Amino acid sequence: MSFRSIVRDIRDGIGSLSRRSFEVKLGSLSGHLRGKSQSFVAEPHDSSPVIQSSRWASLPPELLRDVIKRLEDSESTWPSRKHVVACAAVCRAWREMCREIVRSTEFCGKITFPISLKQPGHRDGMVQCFIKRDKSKLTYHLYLCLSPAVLVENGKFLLSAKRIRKAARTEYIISMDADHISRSTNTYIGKLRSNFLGTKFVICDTQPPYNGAAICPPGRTSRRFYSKKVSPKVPSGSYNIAQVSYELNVLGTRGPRRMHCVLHSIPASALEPGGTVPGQPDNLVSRALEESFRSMSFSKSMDRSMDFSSARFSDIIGGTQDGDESIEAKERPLVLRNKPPRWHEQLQCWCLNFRGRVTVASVKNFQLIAATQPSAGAPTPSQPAPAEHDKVILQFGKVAKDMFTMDYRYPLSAFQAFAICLSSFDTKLACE
Amino acid sequence: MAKMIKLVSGDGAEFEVEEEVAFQSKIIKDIVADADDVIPLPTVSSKVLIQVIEYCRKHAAVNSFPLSPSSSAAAAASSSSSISYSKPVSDPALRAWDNEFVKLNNSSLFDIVIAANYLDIEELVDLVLETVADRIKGKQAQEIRRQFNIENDFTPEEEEALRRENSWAFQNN
Repeated sequence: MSFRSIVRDIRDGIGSLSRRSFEVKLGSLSGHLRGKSQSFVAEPHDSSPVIQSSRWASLPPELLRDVIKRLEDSESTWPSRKHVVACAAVCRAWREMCREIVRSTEFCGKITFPISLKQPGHRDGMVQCFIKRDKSKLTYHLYLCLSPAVLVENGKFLLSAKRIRKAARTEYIISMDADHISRSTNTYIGKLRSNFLGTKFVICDTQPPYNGAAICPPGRTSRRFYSKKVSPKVPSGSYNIAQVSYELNVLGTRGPRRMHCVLHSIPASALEPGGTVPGQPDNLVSRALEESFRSMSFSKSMDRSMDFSSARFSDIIGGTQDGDESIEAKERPLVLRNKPPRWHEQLQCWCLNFRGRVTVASVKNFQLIAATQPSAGAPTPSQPAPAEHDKVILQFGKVAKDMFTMDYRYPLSAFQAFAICLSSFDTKLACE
Repeated sequence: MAKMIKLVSGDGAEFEVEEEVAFQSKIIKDIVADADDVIPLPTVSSKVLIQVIEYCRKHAAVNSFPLSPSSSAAAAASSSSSISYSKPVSDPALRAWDNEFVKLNNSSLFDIVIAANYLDIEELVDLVLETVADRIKGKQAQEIRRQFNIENDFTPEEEEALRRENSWAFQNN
């Protein structure tokens, strides 16, 4: 029997789509190859039973890694990056592989999984976002910029916030759901709380920071948001991770206000060479915002947070005062302040260089940089800061009616940046 | 007179192919160096071996009779390789042939990629994995599982968290 006819018989069994074209091609091929036709020495025995079910579940790890790596490389921007998220939901082996391959925002600058929103931003450059305000619904939506142009509303949805007026204060509920923004859902991830005057704000996270120092004492924290809808296995706490305060500067209402931001969940050492933000998993992915993957034991910080949930409040609250000897200088919280604008004599206005990302003058606009310690002697505002500490870590400003840009970088996370920007909307410090 | 190599499939069929065709497989190339030209492949069935040989024959032909300077350069470089994945096939006609070749169901593709991986035929592995990646794109997890017959081994709580994660990722503006 000729090669061609044997192949034809076997292909009939295989059910290949383009049988006929294959036959024609094979014919021309054998003619092509120096006019020789191949022949079989022996015929196949009875073929082994045809296995109908696919065995893709048993794909060798190096091949699975290859497939997922290809996907991750090619789907590098939104909206197609969602396919990487889809892959991580197929089965445990695929999720584990995604976890190994996808790098955190800190190092690659890309946002992939929701956990990216609570992890530090890019070290080399700003993550560019924009915020859309809806005054009628009192909601704010944060998007990742998908195009460089400032006024184009082309973005990947990241977080939403809703303003809720209370008797003595205002709260902003922050959620990963664009439509249902409420504390009683499992998409609630934190909030911003202001004082009566709108001059001091507290950022509350549902997840604990790396140190125990910032747990809200039970008396002050409202526990009304513990809802039956939230799975009892999920520790939905309220941890004070940062404080923002606003003051008038020496010029009173005629000058730009001063912002002061203390980040309890980020040590000041994070900005030092070799510094990091502790309490983050090395690889993201595996952690959903709720810790329902604890059985897969991904990271130490996750185990630590489990400890928090089981520890008694009285043990935790006194954490810092307990003679905790680990509070050294390097565990001081990171403090940010706004970069003071310069008075532009010719333009007769206060100016900050937003590098084109902010185009409408507004008292809400700001740039946050690290506040450095005053050196021994007189603290002077004009003291030159080390170069590293002069980088703008968060920048926020208006570009159109109800549209604002928000650019952030390491060590802030998108969630923290968003919350800080929301405080700028709310503060009622009058300013001309 | 071209040297012939004999490949014996797992179910006992023997296939005689020219050396250059068989040498698309780096494993076979190494084995033959020991002057052994009957090569048993117990883990590869006839059905799959035929398809693999077909691929090798096509690619050996192109490498031997370069249609363009770039493909001959590729042939020259192929022995020294550690080519990273997805080196694109430069010849459009060959690419078209490759695309036809992989119009197979997922089960057949699986068999081919396993065999190609075993035989170390890098370009064929790349081709199949690229095809698989394309088939995954654009599908949600459930569809991917269905297509590739993969079992969902998450717990109900994990499923709940995954639903939220995916709903966030697929959020329309």
